[in-house]
Amino acid sequence: MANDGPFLFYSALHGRPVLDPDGNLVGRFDDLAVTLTETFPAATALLIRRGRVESFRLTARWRDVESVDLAAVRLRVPVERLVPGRRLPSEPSFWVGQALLDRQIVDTSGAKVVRVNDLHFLRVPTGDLHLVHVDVGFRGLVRRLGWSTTMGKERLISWRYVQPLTLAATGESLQLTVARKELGRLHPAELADILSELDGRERESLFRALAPEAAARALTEVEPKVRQRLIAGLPAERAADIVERMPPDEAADLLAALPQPQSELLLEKMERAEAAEVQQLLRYEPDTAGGMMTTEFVTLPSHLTAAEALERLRGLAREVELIYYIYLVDPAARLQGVVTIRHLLLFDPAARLEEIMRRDPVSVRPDDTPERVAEITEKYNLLAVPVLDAQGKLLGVVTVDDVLTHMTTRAWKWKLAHAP
Amino acid sequence: MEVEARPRPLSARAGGRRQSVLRFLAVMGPGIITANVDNDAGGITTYSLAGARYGYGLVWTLLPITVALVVVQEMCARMGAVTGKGLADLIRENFGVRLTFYTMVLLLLADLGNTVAEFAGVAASLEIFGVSRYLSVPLAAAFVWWLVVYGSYRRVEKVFLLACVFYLAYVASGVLAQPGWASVLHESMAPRTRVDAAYVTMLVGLVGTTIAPWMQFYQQAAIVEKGVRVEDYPYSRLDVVSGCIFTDVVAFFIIVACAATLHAGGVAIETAGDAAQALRPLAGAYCAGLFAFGLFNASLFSASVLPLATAYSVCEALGWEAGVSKRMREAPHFYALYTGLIALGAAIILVPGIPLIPVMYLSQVANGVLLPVVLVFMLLLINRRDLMGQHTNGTAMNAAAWVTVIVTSGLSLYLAVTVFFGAG
Repeated sequence: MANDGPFLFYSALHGRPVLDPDGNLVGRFDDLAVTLTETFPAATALLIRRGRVESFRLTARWRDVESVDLAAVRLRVPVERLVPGRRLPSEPSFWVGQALLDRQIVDTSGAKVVRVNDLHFLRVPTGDLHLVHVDVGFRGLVRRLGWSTTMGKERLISWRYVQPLTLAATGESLQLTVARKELGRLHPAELADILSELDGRERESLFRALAPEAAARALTEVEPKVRQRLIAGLPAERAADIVERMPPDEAADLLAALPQPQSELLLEKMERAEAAEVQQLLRYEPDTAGGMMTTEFVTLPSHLTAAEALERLRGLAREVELIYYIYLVDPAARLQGVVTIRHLLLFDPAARLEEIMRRDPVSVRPDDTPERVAEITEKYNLLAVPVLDAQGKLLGVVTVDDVLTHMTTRAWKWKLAHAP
Repeated sequence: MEVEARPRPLSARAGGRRQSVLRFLAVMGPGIITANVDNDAGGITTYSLAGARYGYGLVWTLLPITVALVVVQEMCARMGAVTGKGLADLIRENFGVRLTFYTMVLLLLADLGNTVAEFAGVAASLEIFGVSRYLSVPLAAAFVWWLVVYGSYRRVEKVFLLACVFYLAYVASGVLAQPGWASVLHESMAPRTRVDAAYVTMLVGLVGTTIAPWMQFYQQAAIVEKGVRVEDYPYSRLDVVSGCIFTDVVAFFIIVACAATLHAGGVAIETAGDAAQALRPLAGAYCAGLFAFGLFNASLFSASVLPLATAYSVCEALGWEAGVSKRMREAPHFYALYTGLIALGAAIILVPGIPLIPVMYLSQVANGVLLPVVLVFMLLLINRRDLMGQHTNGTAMNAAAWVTVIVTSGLSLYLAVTVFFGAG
C-alpha cells in the first residue's frame, strides 16, 4: 500500500486503475456509493468504468474491494463476480460523484449555498472508506483542473454540516438525518435566505428535507412569491401540516395568495381548529388591521391572582407568539382590560388581575388602516394593539413586528418605485 | 404584512384573455431586454457597415439569422424554465470542472472584447458632440459601475428600454429615404451572393454580432431569476421569440436606411458622423445628434448588462457567491470580475494609439470559438431526459438546431481562422 496518508481526495482516486486479484486491469475508478445513515458515511460500492458506454460499467460491492490507494484499487474477486451496470447496493446508499461533485450543497455551519469542488475521504485501518468532508475551496478547484495541489485556499466542510440538494439524480430522497438536524438549527431568516437563493428544484428539495416546524418557521420569513411556490410544490397533506404550524395571520396571507381550489383543499386537510382561525382571518382585507392581526393571544379570567396567571402563562408560552400582554375578557368576549408580564412580576403575587389591570386599553377596529395601527403602536409604545369589533369584542391583536413588516414593505415599494 | 394583494374569495375569476395578458406581462422581460442589448454598439456598427458597403446585398441573410436566433434563444429559455438553473450551472454540473473552466475563460475574453466595443460606442457617440473620450469613457464606466452596485439599476433599465424607441428612427428614416422596395424585396428573395472574402467576412460579422454567446447565458439566467415556471413557459416563449424578431427588424431597417442613403450616395463609413447620415431623411441636420443619442444609449445599456451577466455566469460556474444584493465582502470574486471587466474595458479604449480593430477582432475570435462550444453543450443538455423530462427537443427542432449549430459554427470558425491567420 502506498504511503499516502489516511486522507484521500475523490479527484485523486477518480480514473485510477482497478485491478483484479491477479493484477489484471478491470477498468477505472468511476464513482463511489456511500451509506445514507452514518454521521460519516462509509463506502458501500465502487463503480468501475470500462470505456465510454454506461452499460459496460461494473459495480463492485465494498466487501469485494481489497484496498484503495493512489496507485490502484485492488479487488478481492475476479471480474465475473462483479455486478454489471450501475447498481446501488441493497442498503440505502447514493453515488457521491453523481449527487455531490460539481453540485450545490447547503453548508449549514456557515448558512450558505456552495458548490462542491472535491470530496475528502478517510481511510480507516479496517479498509473502510468514510466520506468526511466536502471541499469547496479554490484549492480544490485548481486541483481538479490538474494544475497544482498547493495553490489557493483550502476550505473543507465537515459532512455533518452538509445538506445535499440533488434528489433527482439519486432516485427518491436523500434524507440525511444528521444534516436535517443541523438544518433545523439554522435561524429561520437564514434558512429563508438560502431558500430564496436556490433555483427551482434545489429549493424544493431542501424544503422537503425540513421538518414541518422548521419549514413553517422558514416559510413565514421568505418572500410571498417563493412561499406560494414552495407550498404549491408539496402534496396537500404535507402542505397542510406545515401551514397549520404557521402563525394564523401568516397562514391566512399565504392561503389568500394561492388559487382558490388549492387553498380550499389545504383548509380541508388542516386541523379543524387551525383551519377555523385562518378562515376567520381570511374575511378581512389585507390592508386593514383585521388583515394584519393574529388570532393567537393570551386571555385569562380576571379573577385569577398574579401568581396563578404566571403559572398559566408558563403553559401557554410555547404556543403563543406574543405573551407580554394578557388580555382580560368578560363572558361575551368583550375586552375588559390588559395586564403585562411586568405587572405580574411587580405586583403582589396574591393581587387579583382585575385589581391591577389597565382598564379600557387602546384598541383599533378591524377596518382601520395600517397607518392608523402604526400611529397608535408608536404613540403608546405598544408591542401589540388589540382589535375590537363594534361591540367591543376582542377579535385579535396586531403585533408590532407585523406593523413593521407592513411599513417597511411599503417603504421598500416606495423605494423600488422611486429609487432602485 | 404581505405585498401581494389578497384575492377576494367570492370575486369572479378574471376572464381568460385578461389572465393571459397578465401572465404574459408577468414573465415578459428577459427576451425583450436580451434583444435590445443585442442591438449594441457592435450591432449598430456592423449593420451600418453592411448597408453602406453592400446596399441591399446582405438583407437576405436576416431571415435565416432570425430563424437561427429564435432556435437558439428558445432552447435557452426552455432550459431555464424547466430546470430552473442557469446555463453555466448546467454546464458545470454535467460536463465537469475542466470544460467549464475553459469555457468561462473564453467567455471572459469574448465579453471583455464586447465591453471594449460598448465603451468604443460611448466614445464615438459623444465625440460627435465634441466630448473627448478621455472624459466620456471614464465617466461612463464609473456611472455604469455605480449604477449597478449602489444605484437603482432596475429603474434605469426602464429608461434604457424606453430610449430604445430610438430604433424607430431607423424605421422612419428607412421609409422616408424611399428605398426601391421592389429591389429590396428582389434582393432579399433572390440574393446575388458573392464569394469574395470581404463579403463573406461581413456576412460572418452579421451572424456573429446577432448570435453571441453571452446572450444564451444572460437570457437563461434572466428567465431563472424571473422564476418562470413550466406552466408559464408558453408566455415566456412569446417574449423570447418576439424579442428575436424585434432585433432583426431593427437590423433590417438599419441596413435599409444605410443602403438607401450611404450606399446610394457612395459614402463609405469612416467615422460615426458618416454613419449618422443614414438618419438624415428623418432628422435632417439633427441626424448626427439623433444618431449619437441612440448609439450612446445602446452602448451604455449593454455596458451595464454585459459585464454583470459575465461575472454572474463565471461565479455560478465556479461556485463563487454572486449577485449585487450581496456585500462586497460576501462576494469578492463577483465584484472583482465585474469591476475588472468594466475597468479594463474602459482602459483599453483610452490607451493612446491602441489599434482598436485588432482588439475587437480578438474578441470576435473568442466569440467565434465559444459559440459552437456553447451551442453543442446546449444541444446535449436539452436532449437529456433526466434534466428536461418531456421538454426535450422534438425531431424537427433537433434538426433545425443542428443545422443552426453547424452553419453558425462553420461561419464563426471561418472568421476565427481568417482573423488568426490574418487572411482576408
